[in-house]
Amino acid sequence: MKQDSPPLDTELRKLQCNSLDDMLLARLEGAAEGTWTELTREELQFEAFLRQTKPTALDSDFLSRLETTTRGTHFIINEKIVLFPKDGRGTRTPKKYSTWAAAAAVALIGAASALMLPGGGSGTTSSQNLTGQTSVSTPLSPNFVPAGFNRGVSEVHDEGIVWKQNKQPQRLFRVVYMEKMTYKDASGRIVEVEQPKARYVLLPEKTD
Amino acid sequence: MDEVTPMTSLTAAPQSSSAASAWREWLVAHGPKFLLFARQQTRSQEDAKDVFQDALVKLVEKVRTGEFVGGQEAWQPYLYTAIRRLAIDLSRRDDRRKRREDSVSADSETDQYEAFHPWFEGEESDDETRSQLEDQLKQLPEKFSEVIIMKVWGERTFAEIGETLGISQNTAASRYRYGLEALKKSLSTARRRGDLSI
Repeated sequence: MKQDSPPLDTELRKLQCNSLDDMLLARLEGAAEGTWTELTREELQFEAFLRQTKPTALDSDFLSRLETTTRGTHFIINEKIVLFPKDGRGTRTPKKYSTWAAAAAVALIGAASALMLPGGGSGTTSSQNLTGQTSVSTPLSPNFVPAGFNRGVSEVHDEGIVWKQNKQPQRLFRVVYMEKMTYKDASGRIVEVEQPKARYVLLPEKTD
Repeated sequence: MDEVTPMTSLTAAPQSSSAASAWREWLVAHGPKFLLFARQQTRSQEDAKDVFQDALVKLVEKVRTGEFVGGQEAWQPYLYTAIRRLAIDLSRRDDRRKRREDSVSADSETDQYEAFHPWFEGEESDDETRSQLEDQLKQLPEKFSEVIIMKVWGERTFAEIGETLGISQNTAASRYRYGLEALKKSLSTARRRGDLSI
């Protein structure tokens, strides 16, 4: 085939790519070095200047609406600490439950924990009868003996009202906690076993 | 293993610090920045409030049912993500942008409405700065302004912002820098014109 003009690819090769601008170069370099997310002093100063202007505070009506949303929900400070609701009106149950009831549920779990301490004497039997629970089964060798026990309550949920056969309404709480058993053998080796558990607690509910 | 334990006596005292007041304190402290972000993501103050409230409802429901993974430190990233998704859903449903472009009179009404619902706290001395800042943020491309609002007032890291927006932290940093630069230029121009006293 006769060609009157140079082939297209030859023409295209003559074209030069634009060089990268300084901003893009700095960005690529920073990204490659892992420093692109670090701000310069000037940027930090401007950021601080902007931050002096505060977002508008929530108006009282809107804040009340939001508070209604959170009513009855535990405020979790961290995984171990749960604040109890002042006003226990949750979305699941229309009737309020009081703070003492939630606190009492946790207190019961704490008491049961103390009774269930390994080697706790007669208390162990009572606890087992109370909860129907035996000590944690593990595949450890007999050389390991219990050396410690810890239980931390992480969540308490109000599950609503339960009507039992005696016609007495009771409120059901679901208590979620983590059990940690420590075992030690003669040579001082320590094995820790963690087991998440949930327990349901019934509390008498006031009736009018 | 779930068990049922009957209980007949109560021995624990109520905890003095209530969850209700803790929630209120948390909302007073952090609510303004979420509302600001929601305001940037939506087309009106009312939409922003609705979106923020819906996002909070989602969070509270997850906390209440024990589905929420992580502690309180994870609430803020969750809320930013939820607000953004809800705002996108709302925008798709209402197609507000199209209606806004089609209606000049609506723009005028919106401007008048916005004057009564500023994004930032304004005191007499820096009212001009506040107003200029709000105007410039609205004029910035959304992808820049959302990063700036999350970084400056939400105090989120680029990694967290990237997680919320579904971009890398380097892209978040780039958008932040471009946006910051544009904001600085426009505020400088306003200052030169005498609109600002900074």
